Amino acid sequence: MSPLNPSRVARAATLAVVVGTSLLAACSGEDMTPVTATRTPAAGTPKAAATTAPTTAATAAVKASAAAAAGVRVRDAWARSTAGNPDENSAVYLVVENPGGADRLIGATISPPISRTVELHVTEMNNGQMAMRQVEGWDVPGSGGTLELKPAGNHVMLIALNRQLKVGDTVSLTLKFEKAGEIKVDAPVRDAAAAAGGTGGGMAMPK
Amino acid sequence: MRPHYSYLPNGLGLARVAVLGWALALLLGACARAPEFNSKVIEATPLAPELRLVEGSSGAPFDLREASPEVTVVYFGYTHCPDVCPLMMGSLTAAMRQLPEGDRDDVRVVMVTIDPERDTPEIMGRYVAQFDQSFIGLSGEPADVGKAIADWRIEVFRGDKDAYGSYFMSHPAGAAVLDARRRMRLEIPSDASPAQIAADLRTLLQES
Ligand SMILES: [Cu+2]
Repeated sequence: MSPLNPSRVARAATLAVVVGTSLLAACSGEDMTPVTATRTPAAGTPKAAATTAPTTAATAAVKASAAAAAGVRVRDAWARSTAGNPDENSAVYLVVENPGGADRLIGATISPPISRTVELHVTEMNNGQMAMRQVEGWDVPGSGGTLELKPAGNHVMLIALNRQLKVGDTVSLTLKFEKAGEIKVDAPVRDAAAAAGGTGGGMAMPK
Repeated sequence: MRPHYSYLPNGLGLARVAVLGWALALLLGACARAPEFNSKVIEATPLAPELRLVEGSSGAPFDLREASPEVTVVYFGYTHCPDVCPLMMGSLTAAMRQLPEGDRDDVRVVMVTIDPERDTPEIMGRYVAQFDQSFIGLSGEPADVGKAIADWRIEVFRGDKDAYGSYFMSHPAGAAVLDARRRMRLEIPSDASPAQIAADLRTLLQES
């Protein structure tokens, strides 16, 4: 490893960029490149998964109402389309809103089981090195707190799909919360080519 | 967090000197120095290393030195990467679509696998085609891919295999941008927006 501290270099670089660009902008009078997040409209309308409990499944209805009572809601779920190669992986992103008491997302399953496994993953960056790691769960802060799963952050990982995910398909997940229990989520498949999608991936970081 | 200067041949020391030098030049009133980029600027502009592998969609040999367009983006990743690789490829796709049509032909996007064991050229071809038919996916014999990874100083780590033989890898987050003379000019960070990438590509295109 380099004896230099990369974060110091990065800070120096950031400072130089900030100072440099503002000077340049000042003397050239040109507009800076707009640093805008390209937010594509969310493909899925916010789904309160609890509202569509099938009448045939009494237990599901009970669970759903328990979840609704606890206040955890899931919105803007989507899955990334795949290319059609064998044994592909994909990821599901979503937002959990929690007006109630603090809770924790502790697992996810997929039905029908179109992937061999479903895991909760975190993408981490260290010194520019991107790595993925499995986690046991994520806290969902209460009293209006949210948990956001988004590209380059947290995702529900679908490992070894047995079919291609195409735009128009829906991935049906069941999320397990410590307190709220199980919540079903339908994640529409979005085009991988359409950049990051609605929950903030591809966002512009302030320079 | 920000990516470090993984593409700089002489590492961080050079990066620091370059950054300080650049800042100093700016402070001394170098208003004449116009080009400004969103991506990290590689001040030393080293010539890109050799890159000779197999092109996915055709199965034909690929050599970076041949048929060089004005600008080439080179990204090392792997197809089983579910999150950051498609994020970068998607951002590059969206950036290409933001370019005026006439500019698009002058930009070449190349994705090189870091996982030749699973990513055959055919799989790479299919993978990049889901983003843009013009994108080039490269793979080849593991030894050849290994040479490319070493030549480009890409740090790659492979995780343990699970019961089914699946594994994940870690790799640099950024993509390198080369100019028409195959000099390494920019490193696109993983969190760059399509608009930022497109602006940088246009700035480089206007140079030539
Ligand atoms: Cu993952």
